[in-house]
Amino acid sequence: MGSSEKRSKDVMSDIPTFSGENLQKNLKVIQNSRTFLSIIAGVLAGIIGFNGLTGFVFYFVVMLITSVGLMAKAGFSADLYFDSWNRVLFDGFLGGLMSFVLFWTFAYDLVHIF
Amino acid sequence: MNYVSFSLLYIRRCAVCYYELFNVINYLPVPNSSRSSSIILRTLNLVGETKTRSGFISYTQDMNLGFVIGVLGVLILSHAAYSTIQYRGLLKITEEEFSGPPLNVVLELIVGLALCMWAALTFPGKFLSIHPDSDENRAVSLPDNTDFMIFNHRGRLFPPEITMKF
Repeated sequence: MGSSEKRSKDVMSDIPTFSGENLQKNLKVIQNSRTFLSIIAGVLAGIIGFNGLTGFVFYFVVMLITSVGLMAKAGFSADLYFDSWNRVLFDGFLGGLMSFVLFWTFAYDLVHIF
Repeated sequence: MNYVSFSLLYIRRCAVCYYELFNVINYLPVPNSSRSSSIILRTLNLVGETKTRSGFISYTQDMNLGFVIGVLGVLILSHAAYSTIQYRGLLKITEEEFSGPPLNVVLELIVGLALCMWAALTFPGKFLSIHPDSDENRAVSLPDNTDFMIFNHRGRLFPPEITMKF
């Protein structure tokens, strides 16, 4: 049966419910995807040799592509897997920024300086 | 001398404890709603514990393929990094400025990025439907803790829209 969350927006009409356990699993999937891709984006930015603001622009470009990919994975219907579109699009945007900068400087040091 | 032997014995005792614990954990039954902390362990054991009836085998095979593609993408990226290092060495000899990696390295980076993106979208797992009425969220078995289940909760206020399916 799992753990079902109940949201009663209108008691008189149909009460929308969803399975919170599956929602958390889906959020974990999104978070893992974004973390891995921010690491890959960092390594790429370091290899190409971005300096300054261009690297951050590259990071946001990769995150936008990730959002499109996640939307395609959810079949462009967020109602089936999430409770709102915002979770798919904007969930882990800034969470991966730290990993991106870490691996960016690491790869840049490896390739260009060392 | 005594201190060295005592510390070695202590380390060996800790290693034996961890080894036994590791063996015990691997043979415990996987709980129903397990949020497994080790995705790689589950991939290697091919234990795809899901509540879905369909797609049981393809769930773990897809993850395996995604893992292989991800490793391939990382290998391609590291090869591109090595090529760029060599290119920079060449530039140091001819004393030119580094304006950008050469064309074949750029192509390699694009291929590596595409592979890693595909792996990042398929390896962490599939999306599960959150509608409690969908076909894949059917409660096909009771949970193990039937002693603690109660039925006198506010679910009894829901309109009974149960269509019996067998």
